[in-house]
Amino acid sequence: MQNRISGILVSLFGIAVLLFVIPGQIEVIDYGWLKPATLPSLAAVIIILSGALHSIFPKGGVDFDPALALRALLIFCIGALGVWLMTFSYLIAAPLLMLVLMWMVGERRWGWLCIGVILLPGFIWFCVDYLLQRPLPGFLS
Amino acid sequence: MIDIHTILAGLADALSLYNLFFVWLGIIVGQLVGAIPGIGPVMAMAIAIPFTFTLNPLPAIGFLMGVSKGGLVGGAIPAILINTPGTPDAAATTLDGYPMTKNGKPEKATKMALYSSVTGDAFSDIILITVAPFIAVVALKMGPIEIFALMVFAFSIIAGLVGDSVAKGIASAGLGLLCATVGLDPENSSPRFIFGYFELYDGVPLVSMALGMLAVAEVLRRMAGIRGKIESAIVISKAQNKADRRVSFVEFWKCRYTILRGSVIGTILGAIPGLDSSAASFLSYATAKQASSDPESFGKGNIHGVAATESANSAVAGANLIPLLTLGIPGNLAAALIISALMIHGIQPGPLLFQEQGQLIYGLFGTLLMANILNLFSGLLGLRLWTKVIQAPESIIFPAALLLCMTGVYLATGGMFGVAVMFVFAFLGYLMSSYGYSVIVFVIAFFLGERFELSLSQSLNIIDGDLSILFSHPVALTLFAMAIISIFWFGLGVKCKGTSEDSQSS
Repeated sequence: MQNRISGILVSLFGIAVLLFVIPGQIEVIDYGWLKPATLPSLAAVIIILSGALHSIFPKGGVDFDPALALRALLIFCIGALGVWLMTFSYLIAAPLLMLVLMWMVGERRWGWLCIGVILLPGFIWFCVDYLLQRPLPGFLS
Repeated sequence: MIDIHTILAGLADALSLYNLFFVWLGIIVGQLVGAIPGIGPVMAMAIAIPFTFTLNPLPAIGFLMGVSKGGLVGGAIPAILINTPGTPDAAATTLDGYPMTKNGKPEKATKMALYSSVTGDAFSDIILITVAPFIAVVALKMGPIEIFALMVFAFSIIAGLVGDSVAKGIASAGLGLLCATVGLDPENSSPRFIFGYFELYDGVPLVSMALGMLAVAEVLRRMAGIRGKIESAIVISKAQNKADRRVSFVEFWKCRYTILRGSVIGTILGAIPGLDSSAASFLSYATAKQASSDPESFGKGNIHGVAATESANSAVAGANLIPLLTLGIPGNLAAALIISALMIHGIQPGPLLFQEQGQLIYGLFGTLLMANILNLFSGLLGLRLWTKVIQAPESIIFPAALLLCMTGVYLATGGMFGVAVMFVFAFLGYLMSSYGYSVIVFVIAFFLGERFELSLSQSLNIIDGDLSILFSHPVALTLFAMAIISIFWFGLGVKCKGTSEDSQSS
């Protein structure tokens, strides 16, 4: 059933792109053989048809576990928060992000935590900022 | 053809200590990450690409090729020792590798995997070096219509082969194509799907897309699945016989036909875009078993089984560069990443590459050959060390990979926008892989998309509404016909496979 629903969702995505996104995001040009909207429209039609075909004749496996997906979403949000924090200072955000992620997946050994939280960000800072002379993110870095 | 001076200059570049150092470094990284199940050389290559910006193109590409080659050797170690392939390529190696470990011969199995892997890889590199320049000459005679037909053919093969459902494969290709159209269109330079972000005028950043889809999505999946710490997975017995610790020349020589067969299978399949090394290794294993006088011993620790699979999956690596360098078509994920690295360094893969960057290409060829030698010695010295690496906890590896991805994309795109785009693609990649939509097809369609649209635009202008012009392009017609045949062939093949699997499960 999940397989069939994925096909329907893919089809709906294609329809949304074709009917709403393409008209709003692509300039209409009425000359030339290949207009700016031609290939995106073709891709959208391919997505609609293949999604519909898949929803009618579902095939292949689905490996979607809602509990795991929620956990992945939480990690995704932590990562996104880390990205936001990096806009302030990489040197604060990177160790904090490592600590939260490692703690979250169950790491409690001080040795490994020190390697992940202190040594790794320090090593990256040394390589990028010092050796490669490239700025790291954050106006405080 | 390229003159001898260019060839010699390229080979001299390959032999410089500076270049060899980065190739060796890549091999060490590749063997290390290959030995860790779940990381793999593809993810390592994706992470490493932004860090190669400061290098010249040859050491940068050499480093990435080193990661790819080293990963093939490293991937066999956990496959043999703990029945868990470090990379998908090594899946077939578990069939006889793990039984050899259970029989008390883990070191013999890993050494045979190393020798056959390096032999297969060197074989395909030699074929690449001898064949690629001639294919490039032929490819140069191809016009926009032929190139468009070639793109259609490449799409038909890739969408049909990768993934467990044709409809899902085509949907993935459509999504990749759609994402490739973000930015200015090639004919009118009109902006598309910008959504108010001027950063998207140049299209979706390649590095953000590649890392998001391939590395971060997998990191999210693996981290979500971690429960507690990883315990030591293996204990290698110290009470092995001396004969069981090494592979003698006689044993290696007995496997010569198996290795040669595997190398030929891997080279042929590797040269076809879309066929991965897993298919080559399973096919090689099956033919080795069929050709053996003692087929019953396969699956119970036959050294020929290890030699067959490892020679074939490594031979794919060199052969994959044939369509990449001559036609600009990436055959698999590693090749797609090499293409993105070449493009980031301002080099456009394709037939003109041999004319415009002859020195670089022959430098790359020399680098590939040297990489095989370095791979052999690094493997011999590092095998015991990499077995320890398998015990590293995932709880540090995946957060570290995420941090490296974020840093790498920031450096590559010059801002946090690229990092945000990477997360968007990571989300998409996670959803796609969860529902069985091929990420590989998406990435390859994304890379082919721009050239597909350009060649389509040029072809339509040449044809100018008169389809009869197509009949004066027999090569294009042949390629179109092959595309139609491959869609039916692979579509039907998958259908039959699905039906047989259904009947088996029922």
